[in-house]
Amino acid sequence: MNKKYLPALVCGFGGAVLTTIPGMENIACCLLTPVAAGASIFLYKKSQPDLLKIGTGTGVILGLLTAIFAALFASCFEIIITYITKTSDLVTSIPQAESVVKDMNLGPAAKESIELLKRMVADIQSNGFSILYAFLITVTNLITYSIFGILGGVIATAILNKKNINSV
Amino acid sequence: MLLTKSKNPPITVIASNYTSFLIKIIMISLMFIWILGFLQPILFTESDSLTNYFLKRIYSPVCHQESSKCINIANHSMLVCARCAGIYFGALVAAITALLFQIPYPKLKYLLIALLPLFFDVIFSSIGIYSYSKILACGTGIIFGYIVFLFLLNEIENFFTLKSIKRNE
Repeated sequence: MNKKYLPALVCGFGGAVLTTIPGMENIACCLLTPVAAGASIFLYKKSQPDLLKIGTGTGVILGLLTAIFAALFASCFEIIITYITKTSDLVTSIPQAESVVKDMNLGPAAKESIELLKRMVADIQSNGFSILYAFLITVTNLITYSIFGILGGVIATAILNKKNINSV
Repeated sequence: MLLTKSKNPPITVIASNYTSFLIKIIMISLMFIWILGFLQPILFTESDSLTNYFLKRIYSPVCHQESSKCINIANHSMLVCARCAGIYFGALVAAITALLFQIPYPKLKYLLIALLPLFFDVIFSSIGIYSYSKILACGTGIIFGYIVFLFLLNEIENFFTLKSIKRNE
């Protein structure tokens, strides 16, 4: 396997596992994905001791790869948990969204969107799975994780390179 | 032959200044879009529920979004907690100041120093030394966001400037 994929896969999986731990997000907040990206670059550097300096481009690619793996694993975990429990954050938030639409009289588009959400909730409650919900969480995870993975990759590359220069 | 100092800067300097300006503009635009996204419940109260849910989901992987820890304005809360909002606001302020003024980019040690208040605030409020304060969380977030953005900007600028110099060579 390519030396870039393995650290990204390991750290992406680790990051995704950590997101499923209740209360973890309270502590790590937005730093979980960048730290996972940083760890993957660190592992990549360890796997290539001859490498003196990691290019920013390599850092970006490693960060992005870690983020993509983390997003896919996190989505899978969420889909599995939703399938087992037959509930999700969408199920709990739908009554509130419905009351907002009713109170504010937001028009037919809002009613249509609430119908779509209701259909997703009904699918989740009856089958434990909704294709639209699965698609939605995968897309949103991919967007956010990718942004933060790239940022984490750039910062971690700079930190590791500076540390390397200081130690030489 | 007399050697006189040219008034025009070398082409590489012009290229790097132009690249740097362009990067800053792009970064500010991206920051604005990101911040507008989490301010959506406050700014656009009449948006539909699917948009609301989609946006909430976008920010959920990077923030716990606990309503008690989110900044509330006119009974509408932001889609990220006070600490995350602080980080993003700090980054936006850094982006604007970097565009308007020539500010020195921070060294690695300043990044670590900026992380310390945020780190200790998380630890102290989590173990109960003091209760969670939105102002403190936002303030420590702003400091960290400001420094981390400048650090990031420096790296991105170096990367693209080197690329443009190599292309010119």
